[in-house]
Amino acid sequence: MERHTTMRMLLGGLAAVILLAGCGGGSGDEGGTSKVPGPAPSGPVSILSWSPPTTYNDNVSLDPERDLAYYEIFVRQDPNFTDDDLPVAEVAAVAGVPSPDGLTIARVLVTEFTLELLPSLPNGSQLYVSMRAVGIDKQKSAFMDPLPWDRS
Amino acid sequence: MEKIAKHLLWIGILAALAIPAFAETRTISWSAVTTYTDGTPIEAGKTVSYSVYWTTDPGLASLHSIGTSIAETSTPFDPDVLGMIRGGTVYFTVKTVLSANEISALSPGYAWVVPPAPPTTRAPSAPKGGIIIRKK
Repeated sequence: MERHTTMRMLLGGLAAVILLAGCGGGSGDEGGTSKVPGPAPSGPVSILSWSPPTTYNDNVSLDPERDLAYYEIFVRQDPNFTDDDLPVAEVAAVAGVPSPDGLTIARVLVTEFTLELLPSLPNGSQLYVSMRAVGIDKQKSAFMDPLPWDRS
Repeated sequence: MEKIAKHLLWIGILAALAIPAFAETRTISWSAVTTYTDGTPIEAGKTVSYSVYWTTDPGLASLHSIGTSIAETSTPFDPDVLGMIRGGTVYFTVKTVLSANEISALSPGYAWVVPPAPPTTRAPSAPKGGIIIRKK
C-alpha cells in the first residue's frame, strides 16, 4: 500500500506534463512551448488528487486508460471557472511506469499532480483549482468542482 | 396467381434523418408500387406492403431482413445494428406484397457503400473527488 502511494506520488510529480503558462494558452502543440518539469519542489507541497471519469456525459461507459488523452488544469483567484479560461497545464491521463525489473512499461492512470510545479500562478494566498478531462477525440468535460487552494 | 405486382422502379438511400447519441440511423426509401407487371392498376381495395432486405451478395443471395409488412415507402435502419461492415458495399432489395398474398419478384439490387462510423462527439464526464492535500 505504501509502495502504491509512493508510485502515485511519483506520477503526480513526474507524469508527462505540459506547462502552458506564458504560451498564450494554446495547446502544447503550438509553438513548441512545451517544457519539462523542473526539479521537485522543496518544502511543503500541495498535491491535487482526483478520480478519473468513467463515463461520458451521456452516461455511456468510458475506459479512462483508453479513452482519455489528458487533463487541463486551471487556477483562478475565484471559483468561477469559464470556458474562456486558459489551462495552466496539461497532464497526461496515462503514464508509463517501468516495471520493477525495468524490462517493461506499465500504463498507469494519472490521478495526482503537484501544484507547486505550476508556473506563473495568479497572485494571492487563496486560489482555486479546477480541471477538465479531455478525450482522445479532443472532446472536453465540464469543469471539476473548484477546490480552494490555501497557499499561505 | 393471376397477376404479380411488378418489381419496384427504383430504390434510393436518403441522407441520414437522425443521428442519435448511440446509433446512426439512416433511411432507405423506394417508389410506391401501383401497378401489376402488365401495367394494370392495383385494385383500390388491396393493401400494398413491402419487405426490405440487404445483402453483401450482388446476386442478391443470402438476404437479411430489414423489415417486413412495411406500409410506407421508406424505413429506417442502423448499419451497425444490422451488422453491415463499415466501408463495405451492401445491396438493398425490396419486394412488394399485396393483401391477397401476391408477392412480387425482388427489385434490382441497389448498391450502397456503408460510410465510415461518424466520429464521436461525446465528452467525458468531469473528474470527480478532487482534493488538495498539503504535504511537508
